[in-house]
Amino acid sequence: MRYLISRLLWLPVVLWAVASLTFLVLRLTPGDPMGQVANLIVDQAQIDRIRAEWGLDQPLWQQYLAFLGNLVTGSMGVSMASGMPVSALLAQKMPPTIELALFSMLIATVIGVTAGVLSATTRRRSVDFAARGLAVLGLSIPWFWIAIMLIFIFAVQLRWFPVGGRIGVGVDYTTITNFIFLDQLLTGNWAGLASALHHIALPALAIGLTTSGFVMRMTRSSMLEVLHREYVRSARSRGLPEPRVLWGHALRNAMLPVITLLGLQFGALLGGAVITELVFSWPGMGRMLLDGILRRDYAVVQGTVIFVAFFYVTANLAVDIFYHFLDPRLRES
Amino acid sequence: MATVRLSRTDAGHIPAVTRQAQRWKTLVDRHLAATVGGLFLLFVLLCSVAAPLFSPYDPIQIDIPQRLQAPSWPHLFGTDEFGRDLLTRVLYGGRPVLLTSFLSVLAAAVAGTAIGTLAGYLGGQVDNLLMRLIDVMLSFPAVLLAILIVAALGTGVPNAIVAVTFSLVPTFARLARALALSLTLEQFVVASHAIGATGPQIIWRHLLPNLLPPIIVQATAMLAIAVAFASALSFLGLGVEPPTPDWGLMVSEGQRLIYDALWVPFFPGLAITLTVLAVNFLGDGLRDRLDPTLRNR
Repeated sequence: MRYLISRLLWLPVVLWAVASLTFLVLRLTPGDPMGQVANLIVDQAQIDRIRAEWGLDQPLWQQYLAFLGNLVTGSMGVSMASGMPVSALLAQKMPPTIELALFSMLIATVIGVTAGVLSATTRRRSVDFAARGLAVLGLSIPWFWIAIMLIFIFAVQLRWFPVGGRIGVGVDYTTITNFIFLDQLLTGNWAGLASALHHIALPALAIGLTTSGFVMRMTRSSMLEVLHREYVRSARSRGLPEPRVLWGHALRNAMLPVITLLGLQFGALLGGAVITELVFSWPGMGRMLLDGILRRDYAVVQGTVIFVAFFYVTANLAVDIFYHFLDPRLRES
Repeated sequence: MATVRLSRTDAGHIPAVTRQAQRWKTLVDRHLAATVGGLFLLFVLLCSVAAPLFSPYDPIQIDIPQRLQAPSWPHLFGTDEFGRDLLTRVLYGGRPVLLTSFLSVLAAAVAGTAIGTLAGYLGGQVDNLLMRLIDVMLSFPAVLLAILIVAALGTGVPNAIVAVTFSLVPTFARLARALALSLTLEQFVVASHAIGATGPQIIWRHLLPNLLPPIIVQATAMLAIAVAFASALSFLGLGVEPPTPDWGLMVSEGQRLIYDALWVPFFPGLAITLTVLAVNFLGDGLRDRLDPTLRNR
């Protein structure tokens, strides 16, 4: 319990450090945020006025304090390109990315854990070798390339799935939270839900397949360790059917390291989502981040990076806490 | 197994050449995947370094009449939308990716080992400060950290190297610290302290040589990640500028051609996949060899 409380108290400190590092990296490097705008404006007085408006004429420490103050109140500044508040942009672009990452994680977990258990129980036989080979292959394929190949096979050739987008053109749907699945569930729009599932399948598969390689390897080695334990032997000797021994007794204990890995991989999934989104014209944070970089729209880059890092840190903490509740030995200490 | 043992005990009676061949055979038998991976990686390196020797075509010169030709004998991988031979571009296109990933892994290994060893050896406040810094770096998804740094520095190979290096340093630092920490408790380090060895002497003579093998294994694993990051950066358009051939950039430029010229994005992506696969095989093999608990798995 004390460990958990100390972890929770650390959270704001880590978040502050993450925000500060992002701020510093973007400010202490060459390149003027005015560069982009200055191309459009000739008048020096105008440039000075805009500089003052964005606080760029103040010393760095004042900019930093203003930045921190804004962050605490939930304001992340204004996009220089679109004039929209970054928090509004994030509220609009973050749900698609998080949905994509969650679906990818689901696919990675189902495929990875199943393959890992199969491989551990058929150790050193052909199924094991095939599963391990596929796992290494999976984690060697770049996200963006597997995405393009999946589009070619399943969207262009077989026409089973759409090539991109979040929901079919002409499908009626309501936006409340912009989490498209949640919104359709709330409004009972089953056609919209089906269309959204149809659209998320390929991008989620592209990210999920590569991640399942890591999950499979971790599940396999964790299962191998657990299969020799007394409780597995005693479960077998009590005459329990083998599937129950494997999936009930062994896997439950083998899942702890896998869950940690999943928590750590969630960051990679968000990173992967940012890249995969571009291939599937997925209207999420990836496109926004890349446009922000190319236009030197620092407020957008800063806001997106800080948001993803916050999300990642919090997700890892959640996994840690979950882990503690799963393992009674850790709970006691 | 039996033949191998026989050849060892009777080594004196077998001609040296056969013994050598036998040794190689054992190595390949036991570490087939790692050997194949290592050899393939060498092959990829050779291809990119000696690209002009392998191909009669120019990787940049535009030749419109030849555009979008399907793979054939004169153009094994076909041609792209500017009529350039794709095989030639794939050969040259490994250069930026491989340069970025090798240099950044090297730099990250050196920097990370230095940070980790110092933290682990000195302990106390230094350790605390350095490790909290590493924790903050680890709070960013690694790809995102690389993208952030490129966003700040601008595009190009040197900046990509810096970006990938920064995203890899934390892993090395953590590993080196853990290793250094456990080494400082070993008898031989304690003993050399007792006979009056100085800090730098202990780090240089005792810690670093013992740190090196696991660091090298880690570096191989990180190389796979570095290749993936470097090609992702260039896929995003944050690496080299066109028309310079580069695997990630070529996939990105070719992705809209999947309807009529799949080979354009296919081959450069295949090159990335096979390279990462080779590095992973090599890394797994090295790790198995070093970590006895993993043997027989």
